[in-house]
Amino acid sequence: MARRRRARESGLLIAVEGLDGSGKSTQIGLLLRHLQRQGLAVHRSNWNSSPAVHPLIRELKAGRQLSPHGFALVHAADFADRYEREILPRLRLGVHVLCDRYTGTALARDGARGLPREWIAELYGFARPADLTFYFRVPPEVAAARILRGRPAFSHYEAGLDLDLGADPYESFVRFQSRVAAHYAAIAEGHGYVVIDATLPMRSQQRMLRQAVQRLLGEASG
Amino acid sequence: MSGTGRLIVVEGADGVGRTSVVHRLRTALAQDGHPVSSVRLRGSRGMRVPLRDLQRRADISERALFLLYAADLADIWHQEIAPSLASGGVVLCDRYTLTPVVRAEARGIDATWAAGVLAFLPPPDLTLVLEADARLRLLRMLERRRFLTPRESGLGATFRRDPQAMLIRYQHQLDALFHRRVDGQAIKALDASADRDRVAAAALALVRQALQGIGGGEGS
Repeated sequence: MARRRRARESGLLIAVEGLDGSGKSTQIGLLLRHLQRQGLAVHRSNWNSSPAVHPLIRELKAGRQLSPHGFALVHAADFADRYEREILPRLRLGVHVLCDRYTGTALARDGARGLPREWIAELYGFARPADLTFYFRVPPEVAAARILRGRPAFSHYEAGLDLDLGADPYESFVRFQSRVAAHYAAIAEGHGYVVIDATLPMRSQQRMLRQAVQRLLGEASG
Repeated sequence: MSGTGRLIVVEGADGVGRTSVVHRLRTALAQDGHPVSSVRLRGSRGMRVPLRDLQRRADISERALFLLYAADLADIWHQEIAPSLASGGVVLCDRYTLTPVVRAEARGIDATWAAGVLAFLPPPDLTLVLEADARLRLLRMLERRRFLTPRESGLGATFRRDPQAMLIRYQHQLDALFHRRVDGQAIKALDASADRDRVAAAALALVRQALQGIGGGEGS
């Protein structure tokens, strides 16, 4: 089995995907600690966190000048930097890498901004597919309520305010994130993501994650 | 081509004299009566300074740097080139898609992938690839500044051992990669070894040829 062969040669690549406010970051944090407690070498890499590229993205986002292509390309640059200098070296050494957002985020978000899926897939064609991806499915209205419990307002791009979907940030957020969710649903089906109902209690979601990861670890060592 | 205008690109390796050619073309085409503007790679509002700084850092992957140049081009396209072309102008571009693709290939990135990433940008009406021997280009670079920079030498540990040899070797490689793309039709080579006035005059003749049939005086 291809996956088993690859797993013996390298660490496992596990990703979580979903809308902002879907709870995926909390879940991957819990999974990380669970795997570390088992004595496994595990590393977490967060979307949009390259020390070289992230400060530039923050500045560009604040300027609100990015075109959809520009937005896609600067995020791909951040990903490429992390993939080649943070993720891949660890996988090659047998470290398991947990990614808080992976290529599915680009396919869903940039697709929702109207860019062709084939082009986005080619843009990220240098990256190996994750061994296991969880998609945390949540209605955009629930995601919005969770975000607004933690901070006073949506960010410009998260609400899709660059796309003229409505002047009211809440309305724009729900419209844009509904588009993102529709893209996610199609990608999840096409790529075999494990879909998690992100409205379930946190503990139930974590149980599902651990079971799926344990199965994958078993296959990898078997 | 996009809209009713024309996109003319001047390409070529470091120190070949692109900027000077673009400047002279702009002046001459304006005198011909063309509505002309010029843009340059690493010229978008948000990216110019950060890209210059990132290029000097060693702790960024080559692929990430390529993608940032692609983002810069995307924004130059949306903010400047597309609107000018749509209003019927001639846009002179100091480097466009060839430079990032050639640089990426020279640094070990798959050129087909790189070209695919930039495929959303429309092809120019004419691309002039300026060519001159790497030693002459090095001499020109050193007339303008005091020190060699690591990127132009191909970066890497060997730079410190013999930067000059590294630079010549890397620039030869860039020359070959540029030249391979010249087709004599939409992408033409231009010997840039002569003095600037002569190179600009030869460039102008080729551009006027490409602009035949659209507005302007002498060039039409």
